[in-house]
Order: sequence, then C-alpha cells, then structure tokens
Amino acid sequence: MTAYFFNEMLSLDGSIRPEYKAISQWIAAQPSNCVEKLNQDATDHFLRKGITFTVYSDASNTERTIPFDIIPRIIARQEWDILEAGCTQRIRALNAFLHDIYHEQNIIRAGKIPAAQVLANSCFQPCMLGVTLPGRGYAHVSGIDLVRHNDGMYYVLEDNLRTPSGVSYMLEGRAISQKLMPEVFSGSHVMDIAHYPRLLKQTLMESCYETASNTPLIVVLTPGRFNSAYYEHAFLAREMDVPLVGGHDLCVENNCVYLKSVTGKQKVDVIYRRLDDDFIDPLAFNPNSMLGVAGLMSAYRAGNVIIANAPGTGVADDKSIYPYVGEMIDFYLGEKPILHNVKTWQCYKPDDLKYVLDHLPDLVVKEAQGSGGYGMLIGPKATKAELADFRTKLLAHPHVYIAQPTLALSVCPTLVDEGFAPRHIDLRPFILSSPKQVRTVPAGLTRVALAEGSLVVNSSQGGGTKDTWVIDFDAALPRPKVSRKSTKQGVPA
Amino acid sequence: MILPLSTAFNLYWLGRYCLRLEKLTKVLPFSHDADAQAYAFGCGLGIHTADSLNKLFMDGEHFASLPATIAMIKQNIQAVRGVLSARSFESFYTLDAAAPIRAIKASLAVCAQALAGERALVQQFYRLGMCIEEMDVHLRFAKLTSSDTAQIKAALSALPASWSALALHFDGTQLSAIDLSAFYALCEKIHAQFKGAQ
Repeated sequence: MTAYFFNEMLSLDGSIRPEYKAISQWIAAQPSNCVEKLNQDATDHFLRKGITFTVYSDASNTERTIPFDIIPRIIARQEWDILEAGCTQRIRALNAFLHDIYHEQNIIRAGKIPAAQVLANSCFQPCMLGVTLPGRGYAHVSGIDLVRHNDGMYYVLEDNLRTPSGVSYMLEGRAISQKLMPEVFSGSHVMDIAHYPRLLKQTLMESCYETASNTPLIVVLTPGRFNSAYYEHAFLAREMDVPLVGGHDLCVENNCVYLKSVTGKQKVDVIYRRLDDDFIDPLAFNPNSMLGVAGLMSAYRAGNVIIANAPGTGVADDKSIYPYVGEMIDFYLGEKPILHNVKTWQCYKPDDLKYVLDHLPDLVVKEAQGSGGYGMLIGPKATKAELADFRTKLLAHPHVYIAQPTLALSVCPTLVDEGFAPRHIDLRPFILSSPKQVRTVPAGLTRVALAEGSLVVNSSQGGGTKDTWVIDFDAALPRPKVSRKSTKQGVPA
Repeated sequence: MILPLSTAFNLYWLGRYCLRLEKLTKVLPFSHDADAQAYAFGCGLGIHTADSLNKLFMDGEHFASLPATIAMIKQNIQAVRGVLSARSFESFYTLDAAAPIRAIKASLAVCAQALAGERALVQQFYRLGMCIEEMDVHLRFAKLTSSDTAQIKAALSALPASWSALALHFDGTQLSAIDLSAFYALCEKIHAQFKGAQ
C-alpha cells in the first residue's frame, strides 16, 4: 500500500487548494522548460552573489549554492496565524524555562523535569546561574522546525535556540521569487517579510540594559569567512547597518566590551553572536578558542553587555528536553499547547529504550544533542547492518539518543530532473523575542528534500529551499485575534 | 557608520590589489623584450623576455600574477562583506581570472562604479590603498611626482581625526628626497594605526 503524504497543493479529491490556484495556473501557462530556466536563473543568482553553504558530507568540505526551487510553498493566512501563535507561545515558555533553570529551578522542584536532564546537560552553563537578564530574555532569535504530518496537522520537530540559521535564505528566496515571477507574485497577496532585519535590530535594541545609551551599539559576532553560515552573518550585519566583527575586533576593559574602530574604541551594548557557547570566551569556556573575546563573560555577568542569544540556551533546544515543552507551556503560562510535539521516546528511560529496540526499523533515532541531520538513523531506509550498528550504539549509550516515529512529511510540487514531482518539506519560522514583544514575519525557511523519497531536508546534506508565501486573501479585512489557549488547527479539506 | 579597524585594513588592501590589477591589465601582454625587461626590473623580477614575463603574470602560482591578484581581491571582499553592498560584492566576486584581459579591465570598471555608491568611510580607506599602491609603483619606476604625495595627503586628510596626523608625513620633504625607505616608513605608520596603536 502506498504511503499517504499530505500534499500541500492538492486536496484528497485531487482539486487544487485555493492558495495554490494562482501558481498552478501560472505553471500551466508557462512554455516548455520555462520553469527549469527560472530555477537555473535562481542558481545563477546565488552563484553571482556568492551565496554559498559549506557541505560537510563531502570529503573536501565543498562550498555549494543551496539548490533553490522556484515553486513556492504556500500557506493560507488563517493557518499561518495559528502557527505564529503556537511558535510565540512555545518561545515564551522556553524563555521562562531558561530563566527558571538559572534561578529558582521551580520546574525541577515541582518534579516536572528530572534534575539530571537539566543540570547534567552539557549545554547547561553554571556561569549563567543567577544572571538576571532584561525581560528574562534568553533566546532572542529562535527557529522552530515544523512539519506537517499526513493528518494535515503541523507538529514541532525541533526547537533551535542557539544560533539558528537560514533567515538570509528565506529573504533571498523571496527576492528571487519577486524578481523571476513578478506577475504571479504581485497578484497573489503574499504577505511581506522584507522588514525582518529591521525587526531583528529592534528586538536587539529592546533587549539592552536600561543603562545602555540611547543609540546602543549592536555588533554581529562571526567566527569568520570559513564558517558555513558566514554569508548570513554578513548579510544581517549589512541589512541592520551594524558592524560585522570577529573576536579580534573586540576587547574587554573594566568589564566593558569595546569595538576597535577607526574612530577609537566604541562601547558595545549588544553582541548578536553566531558562534557556539564554547567559543565565545576562552577565559570562561574553551581555552583554545581564538574566535571569542577574552573576558566577555565577565562583562556579561557584570551587566555591561547583552549576548544574543544568551549562553546556556542550548539546554532548551536539546532533544532530551524537547519532550517536556508541553509541560513548560502548562507550568509557566497556564495554557495548553497550540502546536504539539512529535511523539518522542527518550532512550535513557528503560521502557522507552525497550520500545525503540523492538521497533527500530520503524523509527527515526537521533542524538539528543546532534544537529544538521548528522548521526541519525532513519529506520525504514536503513540496511540490516546499519540497524545492527545503531542497536549497539543504543545499548552502549542510551542516554545519547531519542527516537521518534517516521513522520509522513507533507510534500510540495518541486521541479526535478523528471519534471514536477512531490518532495518532502519542512518549515522553519523565525521568532524574535525582546522584553517588550515576541515578533515573527509571515514566512519561514521551507527546506525541501530533493531526492525522491528522502526525508532529509538539511542543506548541509544536500537539501534545497523554497520561498514560503503566506497568502492573505482577505487583506482588506481586520485580523481575527487568535486565543492563546489551545486552538484547533484548521486544515482546509 | 562604525567601521572596525580590521575591516578598514582589508578595504585598504582591496584598494591596493585593485590598482595592482588595473596596472597589469594596462601593460599585459608585453610584445617587446625591452619593455618587459624594464617592467620586470621595476617589479624586482629577473625576467628578460616578453614571453617569459607574460607567462609569469598569468601563472596563478606566482604571487605577482594576475590570477593571484584576483584571488587576493576575492579574499579581501569576503573579509569586508559586512560593509559592501550586494552590488559591489557581486561585481568583485564575478571577476574572472580566466577571462581575456580586456574583459577583466571592463569588469574592474564595473567594480569602480559599484564602489562609488558605497559609504564615505568605505571609499576613503579603499582610496587610501589605491594611493599608497600608486606611489609604490611610481617609486619603483622612478616616476614619482608631487601629485603622488598630494594624493596621499588628501586621502589621509579625509580619514577620521586620529589618522590625519599621518597626512603630514611628507610635509617639508623635498620630492627628490623621498625614496622607498621614506615610503615604507609611512606604510609602517599606517599599519600601526590599523593595529590600534596610538
């Protein structure tokens, strides 16, 4: 029996969903090979602009463009409103969790999460204990990975609270769509996202201490041009009109951080850092790091600089903590989750481990602290040898792994060598949190698994991207408010 | 605009490499051995024939070659990517070492046009690099004129206040007394300024 996957464009009866009508008519009207040429134009656009990504699966760590498919993924405004509310709720709870675990640890005292899951987590940073941040904001920039299952519902696959990347590709994808498909784009009531850099800057400015100047200095701290996401670091710095710096550009004096500029040392108020905790300060973390700033954590703990995202946020996006996010929403917000997790088995629990071992060929098994799609087992596609190998790993180090059912990720029409074909996709909206407000832009990074039947959408392993259109057919009408209490996801038939 | 010192340093070198490339596109290919030998002497290269010099300047392995200079430019633009507009970045990024000399020359003109739209500080440090490179070349080929020192003075004077003292470096010095040593002394002061020394 052929597995059923929710088709983003086609309803069960084969009719085209309303939000896809315009694009499907446009595709049908295009001369032969036109769409293929547009995809090639998009690739040329990325190549000319040097928008590349390092693919680590190759032996040579090759710089590649991320394949872009011109056919957008489209979401109706009503659906987006629910996703936005769900992601906002989730981030509010996760930020509350982060504040709690570095202060009173009430959720642990209440027995909702085992202490060891938090305190023994390798991302838990003891140096953050007792640090009071403006508005209790830890994860200023987050990416929530969402998938749509064959029941038509969206589920959260993963939270990304450390240094989530991809927003530049979301924005570049939009620029390409507008340039290459101006007629269908302008006629489709697509909600704008170009203001993301302005919102990001506003979020960072609002996250400052009150003692900061009226024009706080924000910098983007990059590990440098050999980092796979360097293009994005430079892009965001340029779009926000703030300096892009390496660790060598900053220094700490009297517990304040300064940028060495051509007009002398300038006091830094906010560091939007795009390097991992371990590298940001060799005096506090990895002593071999040459990427960070010696003394940065001292300045941070003294309340003289904001680091976005705060050190220690990795605990909250750890896959071993992910199963507890529903509890957090209830515990901190008194609400029911709007978006639900994928069912997850935590292999450190003996009963869960037994289930996973008994059903290994049916499950996806991941490292709790892994990322980028590396080191995971996709049971239905694994060979006997791979299954046996993973069984050994699970028995040896069960606490390292979590398992989830193989999700029937929704599919979206994508242009491949054989023509248009359905390919699995996911969605990463980006959420900005300041003490004043949680904000999103109506879109996200849609990642697409280009190989037939593949579920791996990560660009680091050859996945591609699509533009994401949130279509507002009722742009002239006032927006209905979405309740923060549990809201049933409305799924068009 | 707040410009990090390291970024300014890379803009300065971008200016130097771009002028270097521009000069190469003007002289290549050599057709007379005498011209080639004279040029090679000015560059400190022991080459005596036009054919050999042409080969050297197209040899990507040689630091002074056209492909190597383009490679350095492409490294510099990555380092300054946070301050360059997408248009400027693209114009430099698409420089093609394998293209005909005439095409590279035209591409450089496109780069210059794009840079003219950049913010003042970006252009100023880039221009400083070009002026320094120009003086370097003129000294090597015994073609130094008062215009060189005037241009450097103007370029330094346009920079933020802490740099303007360097503009006085050649004041009171006869043109005939300015040699490579005096020039390198200025370069060292400029480099020290980039390193944040007072």
